[in-house]
Amino acid sequence: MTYIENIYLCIALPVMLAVLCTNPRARVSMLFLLSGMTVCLFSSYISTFLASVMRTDLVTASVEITPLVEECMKLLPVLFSLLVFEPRKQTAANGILMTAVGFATFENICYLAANGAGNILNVLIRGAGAGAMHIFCGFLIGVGLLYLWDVLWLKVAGTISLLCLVITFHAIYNLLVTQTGALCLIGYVLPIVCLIPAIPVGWWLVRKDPSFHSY
Amino acid sequence: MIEVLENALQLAVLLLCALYAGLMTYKKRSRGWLLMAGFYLCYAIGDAYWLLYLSLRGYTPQFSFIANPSWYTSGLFLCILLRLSLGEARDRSLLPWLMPVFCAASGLFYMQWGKYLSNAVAAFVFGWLGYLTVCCLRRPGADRGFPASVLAHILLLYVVWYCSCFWWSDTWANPYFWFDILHTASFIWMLLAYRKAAAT
Repeated sequence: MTYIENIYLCIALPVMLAVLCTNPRARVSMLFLLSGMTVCLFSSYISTFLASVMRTDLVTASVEITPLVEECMKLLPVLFSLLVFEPRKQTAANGILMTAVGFATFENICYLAANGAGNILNVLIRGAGAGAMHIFCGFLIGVGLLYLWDVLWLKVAGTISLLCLVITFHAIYNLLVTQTGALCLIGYVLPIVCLIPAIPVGWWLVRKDPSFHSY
Repeated sequence: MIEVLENALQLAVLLLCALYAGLMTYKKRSRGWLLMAGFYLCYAIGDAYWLLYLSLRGYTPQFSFIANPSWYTSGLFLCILLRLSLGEARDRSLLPWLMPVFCAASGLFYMQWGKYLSNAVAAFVFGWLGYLTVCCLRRPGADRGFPASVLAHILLLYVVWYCSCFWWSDTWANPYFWFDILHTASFIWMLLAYRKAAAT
């Protein structure tokens, strides 16, 4: 049995201590990283609960329930900070990505604890694939929210549609990786292929938008 | 197999319409075209997941958590578009309320197969969309082509859902496939009607 709460405490405690010791700018990033790990933990509880209530098997739950739960939970820290603190665009953008990084990191640590780290190829594919998927979803949400948030008439529909986009992307990823053979490999490679053009687009958007440069 | 082909056709049409709407958004810098692009993309996302699931697993998804929110969100984009086109105009008659009543009654009918939250959300979104569509149709002197196409989209969607409740077979004799193909055609009609309305 994987004691994910124990793993969470072991990983999160140093981060919590770091939050107390670092400067304010780094503190915000650490808090988002910690919130990403925390929502990952809670997502596993909620997904398991819903899967048992609906009496589904593991594969069906991973394809039809988990993407919805995980993406909604990942959005919560970001939405909270946007609504309550109204941060600058640079801070919000970093926060969204750090939440995704925290989520992906904790998920991979639990995977390693459950399955071992002996097979380096398996670990690399899993780490790159799942990590890239969460980062890409975070990137989509980040870019979309930061450009839609200022447009009042598009705020609600735009946020929900972004959420639907990342939920479906995540679901398609899970659907492909649960297959065997070439389809499984396509599933793991898909997020990396999507992330490669996304990085220069992100940099271009950062350089283009003057509000990103004000601190 | 027929269902896979028919869904693939719908996805291809949606992606092409989304591409056209996206190009028009870029060219005209138009809010309306942006909303149309959002509508087509959202619907296409839901269709893409549905098609992939059906192709890989051989049956449609057991739950409605992934594709259905995308389809309902697409309705939201159309609601915003119609609401913006209505402006300050208000229709005080009871006729527009027929659509929310129809959608609510249909939602209650579908609930006998479960999925209470999903059916309630669908009834709300498409009821509101239907209300705005009828208001736009009744506006004197305004363009009627686009609201008529949206109304056709809603009615055909409900006909498809009713047909799916009484699923016959995976053959061309099943009216579900014919009405879904008509529903696919309604996406093209909406695009052409909006292009005409936006040009005037």
